[in-house]
Amino acid sequence: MKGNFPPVPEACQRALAEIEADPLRLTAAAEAHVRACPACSETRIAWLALEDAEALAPAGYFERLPDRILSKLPAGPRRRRPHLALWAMAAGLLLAVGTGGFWIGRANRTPMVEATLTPLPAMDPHDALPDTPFQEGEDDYAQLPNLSAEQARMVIERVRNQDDRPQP
Amino acid sequence: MIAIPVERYDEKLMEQAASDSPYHGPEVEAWVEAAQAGDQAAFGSLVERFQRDVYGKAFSILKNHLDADDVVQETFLRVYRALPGFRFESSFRTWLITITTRQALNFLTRKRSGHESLDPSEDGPEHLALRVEGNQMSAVLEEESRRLLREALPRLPQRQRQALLLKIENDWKYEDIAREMDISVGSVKAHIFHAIQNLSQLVKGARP
Repeated sequence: MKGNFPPVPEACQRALAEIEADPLRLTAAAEAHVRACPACSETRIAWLALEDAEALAPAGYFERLPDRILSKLPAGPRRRRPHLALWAMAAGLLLAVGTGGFWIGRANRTPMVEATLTPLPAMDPHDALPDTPFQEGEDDYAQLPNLSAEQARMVIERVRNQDDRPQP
Repeated sequence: MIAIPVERYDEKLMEQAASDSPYHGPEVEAWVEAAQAGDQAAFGSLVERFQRDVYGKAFSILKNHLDADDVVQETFLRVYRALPGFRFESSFRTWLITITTRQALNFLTRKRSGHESLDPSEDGPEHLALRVEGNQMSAVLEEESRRLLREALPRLPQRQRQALLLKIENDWKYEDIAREMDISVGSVKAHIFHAIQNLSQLVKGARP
């Protein structure tokens, strides 16, 4: 059941004794031996790996580390972030509801003017709108059709008199 | 008193240990399997669960935060790439921490020699035993190493095997193993150390 293990060479025995005592504080000779001897190197690694070790890291280090690691992996599905996903969903929902409400509101909105003014009956603008009143200074001849025959004669006479006067 | 065969005793003990461990729940196994299929969300969950252990191990070797942070990041990236080769022959945590330790030691060696590359190709011969990462060629070698380890485990003295399995398969603390085996913590450590040493020498001796 037991035994049949190869004899341990003397150099290995010396190195292994140091490894067993403290795998991180080897003498130069043991260190050189370990670098050249795969079995002793592996023994050192396995022995050191089995030692319990705990250490305090700077504040926030372990909160950030997973994302730092994942950002360096080849492209692929990302780690689930339940809180971020929840916030993203909520923001998306709010945006969708807000945008939808805005457009629905615009489509159904009745113009204010239609809601407050009574529509006027259709009519011919020439019948309803008053003509331009007589104005001083307008072209005298243009006024003739609106005057009686006597008034028209007086206007024509006055204009002739003005035309006969010497110009300054 | 009925004598339980050693193999069955080990199995029973391992079953009980697995059910007690926080690192072996179906949750972790499901994350590992999903991450092996490329699910980065599942890998993120593994990072969250084990980041303190990985950082703790790196810091205990490197003794400063910046170096430990470099090693932690590089370790998780390597673990992600190597995940398809993980076959649940140890606990995921044991595998992860072993890779962390290797990365940290490489970093330390490079730093002492003047540059800080984490590239294992600059680190001399590839490791032979207890190593599960690597390319296709080293995967073949790993398969050989695993076969040797599987054959070697039953040949270990019972106490060495028992202590080692409780540690690497179930991540028990030394104190818990000592209580279970009714021996001192120092004896547990000695058993485990000599188990590792025997296995390493065996694999080394069996390969050119």
